[in-house]
This record gives sequence, structure tokens and C-alpha cells, in this order.
Amino acid sequence: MVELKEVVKKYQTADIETTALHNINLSVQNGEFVSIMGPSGCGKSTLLNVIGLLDKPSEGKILFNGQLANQLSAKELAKFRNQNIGFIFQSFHLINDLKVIDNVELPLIYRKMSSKDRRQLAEASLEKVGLRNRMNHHPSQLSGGQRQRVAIARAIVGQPKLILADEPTGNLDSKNGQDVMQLLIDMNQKNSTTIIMVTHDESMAKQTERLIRLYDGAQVY
Amino acid sequence: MIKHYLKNAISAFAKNKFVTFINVFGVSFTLIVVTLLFSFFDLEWGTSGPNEHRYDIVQLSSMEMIAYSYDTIYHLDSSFVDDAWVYDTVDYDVQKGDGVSNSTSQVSYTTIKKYLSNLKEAKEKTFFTSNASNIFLPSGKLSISTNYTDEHYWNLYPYQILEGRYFNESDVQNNKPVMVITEKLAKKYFGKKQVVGQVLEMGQKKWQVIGVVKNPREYEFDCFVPYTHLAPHELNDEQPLGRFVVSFLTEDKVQVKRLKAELEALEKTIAPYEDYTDFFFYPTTFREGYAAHLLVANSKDAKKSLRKMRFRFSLFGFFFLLLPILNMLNINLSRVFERRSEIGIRKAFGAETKDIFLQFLFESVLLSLVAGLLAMVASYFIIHLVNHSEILDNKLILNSGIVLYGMLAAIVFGFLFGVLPATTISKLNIVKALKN
Ligand SMILES: Nc1ncnc2c1ncn2[C@@H]1O[C@H](COP(=O)(O)OP(=O)(O)O)[C@@H](O)[C@H]1O
Ligand SMILES: [Mg+2]
Repeated sequence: MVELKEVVKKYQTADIETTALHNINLSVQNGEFVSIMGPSGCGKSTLLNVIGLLDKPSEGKILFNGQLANQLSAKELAKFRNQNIGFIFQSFHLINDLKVIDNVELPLIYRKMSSKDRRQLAEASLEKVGLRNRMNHHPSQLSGGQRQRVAIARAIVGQPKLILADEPTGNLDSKNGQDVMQLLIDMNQKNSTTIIMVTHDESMAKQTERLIRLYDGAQVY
Repeated sequence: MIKHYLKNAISAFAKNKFVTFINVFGVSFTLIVVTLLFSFFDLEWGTSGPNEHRYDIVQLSSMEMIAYSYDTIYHLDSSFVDDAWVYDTVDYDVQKGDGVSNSTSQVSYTTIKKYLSNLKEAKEKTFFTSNASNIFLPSGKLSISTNYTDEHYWNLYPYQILEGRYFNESDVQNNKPVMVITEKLAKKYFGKKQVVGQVLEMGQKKWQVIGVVKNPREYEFDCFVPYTHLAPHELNDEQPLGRFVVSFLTEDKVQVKRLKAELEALEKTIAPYEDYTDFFFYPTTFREGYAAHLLVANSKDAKKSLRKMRFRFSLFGFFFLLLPILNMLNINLSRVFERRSEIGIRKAFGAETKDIFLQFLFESVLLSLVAGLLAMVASYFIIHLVNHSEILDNKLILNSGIVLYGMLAAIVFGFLFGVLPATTISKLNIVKALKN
């Protein structure tokens, strides 16, 4: 599914250069559920952003199904993300100005699709996370756990092959965290969606097939 | 897509009520002023009714004549004879001194007849003058202004005819006592509008009404009669200066130039009158005349006045529009930057730079359109109020053209305020946008 070859990511700020990722080599197979753990600031989010094509690596290659993604134009990258990747963030990142249903529809807005079909898919997606009855609410009217479930509905509405989750349970209590985790496990098992999840929580990581440990921007086996 | 943008825009506007209000209010206010200016310009510069050919007409309403003093200059020859200079007069010259007497006025009928009747560079020509007279009604005296002109007048100033007809060549040549009156005078004098064939008494003469014309928005004349009714001494006076205005209808700007050149050549052929030997015509286009009038300048300097006026207007317009534009730009930029995370989210899920740009431009134009509509409604009421005041007496209007221009201005504002913020925001880096 995804392959990283000798990926390096450096940040240049004012006068100091931070190397967030050192020579990362990583391969994630189709249908895998991988978790990434490591201390704060070790480069987990950076790694996920690079895999998700939100950020460009300083060096190295990223391959999706054997195809090099580095050289795609901004436009092609946008299209690729839209078709293939779903994101889940620690702080939910819902658009507060939009209703739940419109938030879920968001990825489909950037596809050629009738508004009716969009609506149908978004409702079905909300159904899967058990929040269909809240579709006309605004995100601010929901609890943290519910918001993250809306975010999951948004991530899966376009049926992406890959879901990237950056500490999806980080802002939730253990009950809600486990609900979200269960949804991800279901997604992985029923639809064989590939999932890469960053987490701080050992108990969450244990429920995944593979664990990658990161320390100071480098992989630790 | 549009529906989604619309939903997003509306709830974003609703959430930031204060900023939205300032935005709409600011744009609205500016547009109201712009609309009122359009309406005023339409009144002053429009081409409705008799002003249809306004921009193709060259008016000659000013002529100057100059008389000079003459100095006799002696040329002396001198020789040194017996320790003294001896002067001999060899010859003498008469040289033109400074102008001692000059006079500026409109032109006389004689000048028109003698020098202006066969111009090459005018499609059509008319001349007119006006008299104020009193007419008597059962309710009292009415002071009216009568235009004395020829049959060509109607081709240059096409007043809208409501009933009957204009006077023609035969009416003029045969000195027929016929009169074309305005609708307002018809109502005042006869108490009705259907008045063709009726008789109106003015200046101890009985006039037969042959036509009724619509009053233009700018008041000028109440009635029109053939110029041949003017007192004979006015028509026979040999003086170059008089009280007629001559109007020429031209094809285009090029012909205006050629006409001016032709008039300049003609002024040199004018025969001396008493001590006056030099004559100058000062023809003006509508624009030049307007500028000169506005700047209280002489029509001699009409061209310069026009340039000056254009400069002042542009400067005024620029500063007037600059402030709200900068202000709106600033508000829009900060409004947009508050939505950074939204942009990060949209891009992560597949929005292209172009999509974000269009979305924010759409919002800006939408806001300006709403402000534009409000401005039109407000302008309508303001114009209504202004028209009910004495000064402007029903003169300003909000016609479809002005509304169109106003809304166009709104859209332009929307773009102006929208393009920069939308460009800036759409280029935002996703990872940075998503960091809180
Ligand atoms: N935009 C940035 N500019 C400069 N340094 C950054 C930027 N983003 C992250 N870093 C640095 O890169 C390192 C890795 O950050 P991050 O990937 O966010 O860590 P984690 O998610 O594991 O907490 C940190 O040292 C952080 O300070
Ligand atoms: Mg992180």
C-alpha cells in the first residue's frame, strides 16, 4: 500500500534546522492496521503528514502501490488525497460553521457527484458511527466522543483505501476512546481499509496488528 | 458546490455577526454614495430626451472682438555734424499696440447669417435665444421663458413630442404665429394636456399651439416659437455680437476638431466693425462647457478646465473609494485568517488551491451583492427624499441603468475585497493551517 524509502524531513526555522525524521524506511501492506508510538516531539505527526501527502519530505521517496507520489503537482496531490486517504485528527478538526451532515459530505464536495448522492453517502456514513440522528446539529452541540465519530464518518465517506489517524483518542476519555478504536477496527476488518494510527496509549496500540516505535525521528525496532 | 459554499458562507457570516455587519454596512454606505453620484451624473451628463445628441453638439455661445490702439513709430537717421547729433526723419510705421477694447458675448443673427450659414463640418446647425415674458392666467401672472429658434432645433434637441408636431421650415419662413409648449405649461395655462389647436396669448400676440413636448428633467424653456417673431432690430443689427447661441451637430470627435478649425479660419474673415478688427469664436463641446461652468472658468479655457475637472474628479473618486477598500480588505483578511483550520481541513480532504480561492471570492462577492441590494433600496428612499426637497425638484432618478451600474460596482467591490484575501488564504500550507 504505502512505502517510504529513506525519508528525511527537516524543518528550517529562523536559524535552527530541526531534523524531524531521519532516514525512515517503512512499508505498510494493504489492509494492515499499524500503530505508531513514541514520546512527544519524536516526529510522529510529521511522519503521518508526510505519508498523507500533506507535507513534502526533504529527501526520500514515497510510493503508493508502487507509484511515486513525490513528483505529483499540488493539483494531483489534492486529487490523490481526495480519492485515497481519509484523515482523523486529535482535535477533530470539524468545520464549526457547517452542520454535521455537511461536514461529513466535505470530501465528496471535491468530487464530481450529485448533491443527492453526496447526501446519501454522508447519511450512510453517519449511520455507521451511530450519529445519523445528529446530522442537523452543529459540531459545537456534540460531545468530544461524538465529534470524533463525526470525524470518522467524514474520513470514511469517500471510501478511501488508507486512513491516517493522529492520536484519534488523545482528547477522549477511555470509554469514548474505546468506541472510536472499535470503529477503526471494524473499518479495518470489514472493509479491509489500511489504517495507520499514531497513539500514546499502549492499550490502543495493542489492539493493532503492528507497532512502529519512533524515537527522535528515527525508527526503533 | 455552490449550495455548499452558500451554506458555509451564510453560517460563517451568521457566526461573525459584528464583522459581517461592518462589512455589509461599509460596502453599502460606499455604494449608496456611488449610486447617488451615478444618479446625479445621469441628470447632469445623461443623454435622455432633448440631450440625446449632447456629446455630438458643439455650442458657440461665446465670441470675442478686440479693437486695438495704433502707435506711430518714427524711424530717425542721425549724423554727427559740428560736434552735435543731427536727426532726420526718414520714414514712419503704424504698429498695432495693445488691445484697448474688447467685448465678449453671444453672437448676433447677422454673424450667423453672414459667416455661419455654410459650414462644411457640421451635419446640422441651429441657433436660438430666449426671452422671459409674462402671461396672464385667471389665477394671476405667470413668468415663462420662450425659446426663439429655427426648424432645425428639433433635430439637435429632440424633445419628446406628446401631441401635435414641431414647427417646420414653412412655419418659420412665413412667420406663422405657432408655438410648441411644454406639458407643464399646457397644464398650467389650459388646465389640461390636450391643447393642440388652442390659442395662447403672450406679448399681446395670439399664438396657436401646434405641439406639446415633454418637460426634460432640467428646466430650460416653457415654449418655443419661430425666431422670425423676434423684433426686426434684433435680426437686422449689424453688430457681430448678439444674444444667440449656435449649436452644431457633428459626426464624431474628428469632426469636432475639424469644425473648430473651420470656425478658427472663419473668424479671420469677419469684416471689421467700428474699431473692432479681430474676432474670436469660442466653440465648446458639452464636456468642455460643463467643466468651464463648474470651475467658473471662461469658455476660452474650456479645454484646460475639462482636464482640471477630470483630474479633480478622479482624485476625489480615488480617495473616496480607497479608504473603504483598504478597510474592507483589512477586515476581510482577518476574517479569512480566522478560518485557517477550515482551509487546512478542506485541503487535506482534497480541495485544490483553486477551490479555496473560488470559495472565498464567492463569499466576498456574495457579501457585496447583499450590500449592493441594501444600497439600492436605501438609495431609492434617499432619492425619494431628495426629490421632495425644493432644490432638486424630482430631478434625480434611479433608473435601471443606474441600478445596473450600482450592482456592477458592488460586484467589482466584491472582487476587489475578495481577490487578495482569497489568494493569500488559498496558498496556505496545509500543515501550518491545521496547527490550531
Ligand atoms: N512546522 C514546523 N517547523 C519547525 N519545526 C517543527 C515543525 N513541525 C514540527 N516541528 C518539529 O519537529 C519535531 C517533530 O514534531 P512532531 O512530528 O509534531 O512530533 P510528535 O507528533 O511526535 O509530537 C519536533 O521537534 C517539532 O518541534
Ligand atoms: Mg503530534
